[in-house]
Amino acid sequence: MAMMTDTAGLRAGYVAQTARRYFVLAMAAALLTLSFVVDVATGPGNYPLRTVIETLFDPVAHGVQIKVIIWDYRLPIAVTAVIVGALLAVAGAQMQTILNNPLAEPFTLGVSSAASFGAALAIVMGWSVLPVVGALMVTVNAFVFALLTCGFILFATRLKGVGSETMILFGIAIFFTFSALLALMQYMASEDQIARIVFWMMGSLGRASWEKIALGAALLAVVIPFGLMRSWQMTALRMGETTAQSMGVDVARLRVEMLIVVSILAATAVAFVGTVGFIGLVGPHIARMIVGEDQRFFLPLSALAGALVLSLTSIISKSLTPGVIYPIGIITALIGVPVFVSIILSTRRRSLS
Amino acid sequence: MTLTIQGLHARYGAVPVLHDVTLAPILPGQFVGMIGPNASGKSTLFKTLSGLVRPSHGTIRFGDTDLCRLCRRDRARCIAYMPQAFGCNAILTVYESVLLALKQTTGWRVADANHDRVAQTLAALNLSHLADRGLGNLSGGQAQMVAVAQTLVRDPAIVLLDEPTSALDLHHQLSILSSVRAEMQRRGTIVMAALHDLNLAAKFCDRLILIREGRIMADGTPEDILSLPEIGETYRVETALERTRRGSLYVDATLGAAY
Repeated sequence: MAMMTDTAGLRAGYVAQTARRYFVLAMAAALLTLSFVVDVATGPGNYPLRTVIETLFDPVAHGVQIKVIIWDYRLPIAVTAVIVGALLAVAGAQMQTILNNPLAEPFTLGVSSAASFGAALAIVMGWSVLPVVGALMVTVNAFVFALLTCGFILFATRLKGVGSETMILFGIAIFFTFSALLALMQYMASEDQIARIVFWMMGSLGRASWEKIALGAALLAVVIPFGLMRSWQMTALRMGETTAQSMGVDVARLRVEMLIVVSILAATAVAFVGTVGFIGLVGPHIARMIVGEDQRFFLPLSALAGALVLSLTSIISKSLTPGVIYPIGIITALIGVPVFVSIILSTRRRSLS
Repeated sequence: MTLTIQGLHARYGAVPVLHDVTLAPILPGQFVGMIGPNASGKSTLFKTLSGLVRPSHGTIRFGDTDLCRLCRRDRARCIAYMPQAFGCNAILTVYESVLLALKQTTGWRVADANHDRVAQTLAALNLSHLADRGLGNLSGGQAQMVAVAQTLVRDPAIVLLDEPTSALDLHHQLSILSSVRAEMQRRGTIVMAALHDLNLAAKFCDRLILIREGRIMADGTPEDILSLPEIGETYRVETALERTRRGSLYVDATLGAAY
């Protein structure tokens, strides 16, 4: 009898924990919605919140001028912040799990600097990796270089004796290589070109367009279910490679599959907004601290947390100085990092409930 | 169904680790102790049986099934291998980590039957009180017992435990091995455990297999095996097998002059 109640008690505990996690996901989604609306409502022009919300539901409710500002300027930027935040965070979350390293993300693995070099190559030399891309040359170059770097990382993980620490060292090597090449590009560039490169590297949501948004959303719609389907295996990977294998996970195959998928995510996100460090790190870390590492909750919460953080960054970038929109890459580093460090320090000793 | 191993060879790169390992059929419910010094091939044998290492020659059969032909998932359903404990830094509770092991070979959704299995396994190993504890807050011994729970929860036909008692105190060494033995005999599960403590091996095993440099040196009842002169030679000590007043076998080992 004692064992019966024991069994029921354990299950009840787990069920309650699961319910709490769904609640956290719902709260995060609600916060994201709120942040999104505020993001759309802030900006030069100072329209009242009500006017903005009414325009969202009925574009021409307050005239064509507001419609253009909301629908053609603010909305694409706000949606891009959400999508790119989620892309970067999902990429970071999966990289951290696959490479078994909490520091792994597109920025620390050198993917961002490779993309910057690709962009610079297009800006300075007018040289495109893929022909016939026209105006999209900068974005396409950034994407291709980011993808090649991910391919190199994938290759490196297959080498014998390359552990998780070595991966980050590879990332640093990639970072310095492309930084040097980038400096070379800047040395060769004209003043105007230097300005464009620097602005690209700072990371900006201003390059938003509905085509990019559709592409990013489609990627998320494919990758998140893909990750969720493999969530039990991915969680098992956190128990250690040998343990995961002994549980029946084909670790080598899982790694390759996930890295390919994640490479495309990371390359896309970086190509869209430029260098935005920290989101791929902070999204997963916040998620991990709240729901632990059961990937069924960790992955979606990482996506929501990343989206929320970038959306908040977008709001802050418009609010610091009236009439000025600062590049988000600067904001994420200046405001996000101290907040992040304080979160880590304050929750480090708290055990998981 | 019985487990038969015939002519098994395995190598790491060019280094051969197992040489022609052939064992008499292992019967359901049998508790087999693998003994032998460090680096004698015990872990490699377990890894080869569970499919983590591919044998270069030989067959592994369970009943009529050739285990080497099974896909990874089916093989894991049949054979559960507990690697030596190294600890991990995953942020999961004990309950989650045991459920996780079970979910690798069952459907995506967490069913009621899954909860029953996890709770029963934790209860059988006296671990229920740790269920909500985070893996990071466990002692080495607790982590090892949780690893055993992760292995048993899958209800496999064959369980391979690599040094399941290395981090445990005396009480828990005895309690975990007797729980495992009782539970596995009830289910008719084959257990193979690599053990360093010969007295523990004598107490719990139906059969002992002495392995040295990747070769099977001896195979038989604990009393037969532990009284062999090869035991002393293999471990490079002088041994004498005695029976205590309570009837247990006791291996008295000294370093001796020869070593």
